[in-house]
Amino acid sequence: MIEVENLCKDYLVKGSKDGLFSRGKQKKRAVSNINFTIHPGELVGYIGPNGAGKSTTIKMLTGILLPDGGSVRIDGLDPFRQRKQNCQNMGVLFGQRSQLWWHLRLDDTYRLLKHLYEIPDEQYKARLSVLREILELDEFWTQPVRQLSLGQRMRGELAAALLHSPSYLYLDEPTVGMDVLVKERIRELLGEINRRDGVTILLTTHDLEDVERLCSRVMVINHGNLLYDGTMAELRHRCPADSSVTIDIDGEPILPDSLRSVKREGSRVSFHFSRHMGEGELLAKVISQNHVRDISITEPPIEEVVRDLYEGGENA
Amino acid sequence: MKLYAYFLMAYFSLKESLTYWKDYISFIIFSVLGLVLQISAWYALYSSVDFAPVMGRSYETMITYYLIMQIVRNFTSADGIAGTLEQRMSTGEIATDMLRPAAPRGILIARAWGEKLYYFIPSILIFVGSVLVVGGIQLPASPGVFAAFCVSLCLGYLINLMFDLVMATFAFWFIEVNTLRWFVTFFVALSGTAVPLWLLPSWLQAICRALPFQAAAYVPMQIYLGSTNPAEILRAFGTQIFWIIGLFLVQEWLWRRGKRRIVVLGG
Repeated sequence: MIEVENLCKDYLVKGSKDGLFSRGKQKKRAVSNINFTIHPGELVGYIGPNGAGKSTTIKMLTGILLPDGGSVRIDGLDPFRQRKQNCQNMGVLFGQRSQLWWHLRLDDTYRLLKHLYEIPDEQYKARLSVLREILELDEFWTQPVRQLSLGQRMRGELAAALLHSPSYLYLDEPTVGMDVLVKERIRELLGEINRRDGVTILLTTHDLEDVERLCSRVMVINHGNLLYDGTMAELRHRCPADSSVTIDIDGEPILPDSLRSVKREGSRVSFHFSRHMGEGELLAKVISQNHVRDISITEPPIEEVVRDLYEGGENA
Repeated sequence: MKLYAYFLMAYFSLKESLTYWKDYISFIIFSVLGLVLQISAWYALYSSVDFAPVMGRSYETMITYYLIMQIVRNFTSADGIAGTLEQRMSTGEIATDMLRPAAPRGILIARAWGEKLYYFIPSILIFVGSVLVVGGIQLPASPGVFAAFCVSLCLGYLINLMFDLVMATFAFWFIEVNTLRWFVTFFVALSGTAVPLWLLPSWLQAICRALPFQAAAYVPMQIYLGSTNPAEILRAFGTQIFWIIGLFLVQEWLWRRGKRRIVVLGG
C-alpha cells in the first residue's frame, strides 16, 4: 500500500543575476500538501501539465528525493531512509531516460540486474522466459541497445523494470514519443502485467488515452496541488464540458431558442449541450417535439475535460 | 552475490569504453610524448655532467622514477569519480543509480574502474615498450621491498579514491565541479608525478608533505627506489592510512549532507 500524507517538496530557483555576486534565490513549491492512498493491485493514472509536480512525486515515492514535508510510506517503508529495501520491491521506468547499457546487449543488463537484486538462478530463468515471451524480446535479443527502435527499447526497459518481480511499478511517461500502434501495444502489456501479477502501477502521462484505456482511477495535479482523485467517469461528470448531439429529423425541426451552437445540414441538426447545466430537459424537449429518426451523442474529448480542470483548478 | 554485480558493472563500463577505442590514439600520443620530453631533458642534463649523480641520484634512478611513476599514476588515480558523478548529476542519470538496491558510491567506483582499466591496458604497453627502448630500469632492492611497494600502491589508490569522493560530493552543491577539480589538479602536480620532490626547495617540500597527494604517488615511489628503511616504510604506511581515514570521514560527512540536496535535472 502506498500512503502519502501532506507531501511537500520545494525547489530553489535561482533568480536572474542582478549583480555580479548577489543572486536572488526563490523557493518554488513543486508539490504542495498532497494526500493519497493506493491499494495493492490498483492501476492509477497521474496526470497534469508540464511542471505540475508529477515527476517530483514519483521521485519522492522512489526514494530519489527527500520530501520537505509530510511523509511517504510504501508497505510501511520510508523510501528515502530505507531506500535499498524499498528499491528491492519496486520497478521504475522513465520514458525519457534509459536504464539499459547503451552499447551492450539487453541480456547483459539483465544479467547485472539479476546480481543486483540477488534473484535466485531458477527464478531468474523462469521470469526472463516469461518476459521474453510477453514482451516479444526475441527479435532483437542480440542487438546492442543503441540499435533498437524506441518501441523495442521500451519493451526492453519494461522487462528490466519487472525482472525482479516487484509489487510496485512506477511509470513516468512510458509512451512518450511512440507511434499509435506501439502505444497501443505498451498499453496492452501494462494492463496484462497489472492483471497477471497484481502489480500496483502508478503511471504519469500526457497522453490521456493511456489513462482512459488503462486506469480505473485517475489523479490530477497542477501547480503542486492535487485537484482530483477518483474514477475517470466521475471526472467527466464533474467537469462541465459540452457533449455534442446530432439528431436526424423528419420534417421541419422545432427547436427551443436556448439551444447552443446549432448547426443544420439538411435533415441533420447538431448542437452542444451539457447535462450538468440542467440542459437534460432541453434535450428531452427536442426529442419529444420532433420526429427523431436517429440520434448520436458524443462525449467531450477527455482532453477538454482535463483542460477545464487545469484552468479552473487554480482557484479550486 | 552482490559484490559480483559491482565487478560486472566495472566490466560493462570497460566494454562500453572500448567501443570508443579512438580515444586510445590521443592517450598514447600524449603519454609517449611526455615520456620522450622528460627523458631527453634528463639525458641532456646528465650527459653534461658525464652521468655523475645529481643531488645524490643517478641517471638510471631518474629514468626509473619517470617510467615507474607512469604506472603509479595510472594505478592510483581515481579522477574518474568526481567527473562521473558530476556528469550523472547534470544529465539526471543519477536517478537510475538511486533506483537500485545498491550503494550509489559503489556504482560510481565500479564504473570508474572500468574506465581506469581502459587506460591501464595501453599504459602497461607503453611502459614495457619504454623499458625496452631505454635498456632496462632499476629493480627494487628485494622482493620484500617490492611487496611493500605494492601495498603502498594500493593505499595510494585509496587516498586518491577518498579524495575524489570528497570532490564528487561538491556536485551536490555546485552542479559544475570541473572547475574545482581543475584547480585541484594544480596541487596534484605536487604529488611527485611531474617532478621528484627531492628536486624541490625545502619550503615547497614542506607544503607537499602537508598535502595528501604525495602520500598517494611519491611515497610508493620512494619505497620502490629503496630510499626508505623498514621503520620508515611502516611510518609511510601510517601516513597513508592517516590520510585514508581522514578523507574517508570527510567524504562520509559530506555525502550524508549532500544526498538530501539531490536535484534530478532533466525531467
